[in-house]
Amino acid sequence: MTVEIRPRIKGYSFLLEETDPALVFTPEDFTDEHRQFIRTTREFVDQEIEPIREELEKLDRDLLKNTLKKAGEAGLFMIEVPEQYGGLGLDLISQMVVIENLGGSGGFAVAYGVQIGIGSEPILFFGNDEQKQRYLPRLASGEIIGAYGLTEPGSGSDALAARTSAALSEDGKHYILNGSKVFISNGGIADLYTVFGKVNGEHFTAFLIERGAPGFSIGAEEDKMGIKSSSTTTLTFQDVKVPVENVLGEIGKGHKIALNILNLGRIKLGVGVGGGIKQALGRAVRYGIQRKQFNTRLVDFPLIRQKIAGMVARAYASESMGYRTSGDIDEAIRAAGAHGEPTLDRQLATLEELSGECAINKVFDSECLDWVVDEAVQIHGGYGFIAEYKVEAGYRDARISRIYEGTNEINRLFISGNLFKRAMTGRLPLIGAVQKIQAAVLSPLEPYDGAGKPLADVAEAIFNAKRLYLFVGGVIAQRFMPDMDRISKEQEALAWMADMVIHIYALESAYLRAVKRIEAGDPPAESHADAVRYQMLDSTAVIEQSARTLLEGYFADDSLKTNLAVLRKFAKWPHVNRVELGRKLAKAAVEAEGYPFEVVS
Amino acid sequence: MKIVVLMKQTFTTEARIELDGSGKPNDSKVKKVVNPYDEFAVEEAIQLVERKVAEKVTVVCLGPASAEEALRQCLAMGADEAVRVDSAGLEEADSSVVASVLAGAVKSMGYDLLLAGYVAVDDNAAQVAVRVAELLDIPQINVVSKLEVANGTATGWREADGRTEVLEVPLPALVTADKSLNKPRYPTLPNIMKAKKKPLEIKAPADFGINPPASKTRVVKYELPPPKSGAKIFKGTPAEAAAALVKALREEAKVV
Ligand SMILES: Cc1cc2nc3c(=O)[nH]c(=O)nc-3n(C[C@H](O)[C@H](O)[C@H](O)COP(=O)(O)OP(=O)(O)OC[C@H]3O[C@@H](n4cnc5c(N)ncnc54)[C@H](O)[C@@H]3O)c2cc1C
Repeated sequence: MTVEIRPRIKGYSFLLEETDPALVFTPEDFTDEHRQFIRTTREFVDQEIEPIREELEKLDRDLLKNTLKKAGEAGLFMIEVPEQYGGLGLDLISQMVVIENLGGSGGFAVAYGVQIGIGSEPILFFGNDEQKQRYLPRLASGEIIGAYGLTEPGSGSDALAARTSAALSEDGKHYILNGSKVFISNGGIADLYTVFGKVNGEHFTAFLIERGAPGFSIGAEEDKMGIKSSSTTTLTFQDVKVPVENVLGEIGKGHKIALNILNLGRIKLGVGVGGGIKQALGRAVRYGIQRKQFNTRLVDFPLIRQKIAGMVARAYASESMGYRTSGDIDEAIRAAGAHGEPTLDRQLATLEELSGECAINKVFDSECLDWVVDEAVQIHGGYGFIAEYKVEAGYRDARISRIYEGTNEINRLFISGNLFKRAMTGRLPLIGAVQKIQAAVLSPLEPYDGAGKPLADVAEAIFNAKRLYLFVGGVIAQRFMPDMDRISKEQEALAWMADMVIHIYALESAYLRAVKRIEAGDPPAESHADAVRYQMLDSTAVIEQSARTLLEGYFADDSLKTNLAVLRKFAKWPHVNRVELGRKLAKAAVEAEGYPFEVVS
Repeated sequence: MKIVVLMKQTFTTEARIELDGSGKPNDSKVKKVVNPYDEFAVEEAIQLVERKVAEKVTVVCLGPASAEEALRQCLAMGADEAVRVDSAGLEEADSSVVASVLAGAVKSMGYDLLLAGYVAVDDNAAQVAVRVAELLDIPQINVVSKLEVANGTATGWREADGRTEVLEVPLPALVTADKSLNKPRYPTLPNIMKAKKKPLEIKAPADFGINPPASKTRVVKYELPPPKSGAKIFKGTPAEAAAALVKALREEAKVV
């Protein structure tokens, strides 16, 4: 079906136009209700998770299940499930405030994320009414735990190549499943499994399988690097009889389920990871305040301050981006539903429209998290290497986020591949924009008109970054025209272009939030501006470096020289004193004893 | 039985207070919460309803519009209704004024039991609740760590020097909570949603026929506490740490 989506909510449109800050959702826009959700989630973490953190790390399945039950009692699983199925049917922002604030809870956050995400969304979006009635209320209350089995020993990134097979029984009442799955989160504790297999070895299909079904066995717990408090097991199916009523969606349409669920999974993972970033930052700052060397607090050493500044900037960009995308999704869904209920189809179409932005969040956030936990350990020195200090687990827990929900490589290929596809089919007016840039290159560049704008220097940098992207993307795409299939084999081109897109979106999201603060006249607006400028240093460096590497990789001799000359025209960034800026931004974090832009006490 | 809880919205205890240009604590910069001691009172009231001792819990707060967030939290915990008495013009009012407004409000609202925290963590005055009881001429039990309500009486346990006092008063009465009274629940998400539909009335003192009197005290000056010097942690076995502590108190701090 086609959905009319307001122009600004077209996927990737941020590359082609400026966004009005007033239309962007930021954490400063949280309602009283959001704040209450945040408080409840934090209370839950403080009272139910933190005191038993060490026991949870030993993966006591009963304890994990019991703690999940408590999350159920607090209503934490009800966020997305519609009211008619026992949930609260909240919009995405309201879900995100809960997800983010559980995000720093290591393996428990994974168990939680699976329950509210891939463990229940397949049914929520693709189940028939009977299936929804049967399972959603119990998933929403925590009475049953869900899991999702897609990955197999032979198929991970290439998930659709699954070998698990399903054959209709002679009486037509069951599908007989054979095969196995690996790395299934909640595998050892779940009651309900959404499992993918191929009917007659061909038609990719999703099935709902309950624990205890004869022939269905659950393997031992994997001994993992991190998120140790989550359960991860293999699943084996030996002639498992799945009633035909338990086919989810249509036979042969399983890929639709798998792919659609990914979009939500990626943005939710991103925002959850954002919670982990702020947590690691807080721990590093508080440790650095209390630890002295050379009779000086660690946080008073400039090198430590620069690390803290880097953490704050990343946390800020990641948070700004997550709530921007989520707000856009909510608004697009509301707009799509303006003439009636936002149907599930419309919701899925909206998510597909913004699937690029969802993937951007996933990649940027998971890589920021890794950088932040790494520096958090560094600030702790030797103590950071010792398990007694929480940053040690945080460091290990972070690593998985770059691997699941599509590895970051797969996501980068998706970000650019998807964009090119939309450009080629005219869904995104990219080609016109590229042509305009290429024509403009021939004459002196049109200057950016930032007169009267707050943070005009940053606005100009973003404007230039977009022009640079359109130019580089354009010349590279033309190398492969008209055979666009060839570019899908140029993984470096796709991935490095994705890096440019990711940083443009991240920097712009941070910028839009800061402008909103400045325009609102908030007293801490200056710190917001500092965070954006610090992020600008890192983002413009990545953008310029990626552009250069791309040109050097795909052009030589004179054409390389010409293109590099154009690069130099666009790659104009304001001069920022990183020494001063970093010290100042870190000071705000030291004063706040953590993330300085926290909006809820 | 009807319970009315007196609630104040306060700074968080971790809030770093700053003084503004006019030398007053800067309100806009600090995050605010339900006064933690009032949270014990709200929790106790809800438990009394759950135990079927009481039927209804009303929370009343004298404060600005921003206090409604705190009232919503009480509703989400399980209170039935909330009343905000608008504090416009009373921003500088002292405990005696606040008490007279609240006393007038609860009198016209009707109550069998008044509950409150014994102290608010911002000014630490511990004045308002006891004054309300005096103005209403009802008995009071303060700083209770355990409360029983039955057959028209309230029995409160409170810790005194080395002993526990048990006091019994006839209702209507006022009881103030200590922190060991209970463990306040955090509101569940569905209760947060339900609270949005619960009544939250906004009143002016005049609606209760109250004409607030003038304050009896005047704040001369606010001063920030002197900056803390760093804490010191003594490591080792408890015995070793105690020995090191005594030594430091003698030799470094020279206080013993
Ligand atoms: C703790 C944990 C929990 C998990 N939970 C679940 C779950 O609940 N349900 C579920 O179904 N799965 C789950 N997974 C599986 C996870 O989604 C996969 O591990 C992931 O998709 C990668 O697949 P793979 O491990 O087979 O790696 P591979 O696909 O073999 O990839 C190996 C490397 O090759 C790269 N690569 C692969 N293909 C390409 C390509 N086309 N171009 C360039 N590079 C490529 C990858 O990026 C990666 O770096 C979980 C995994 C872990 C470790």
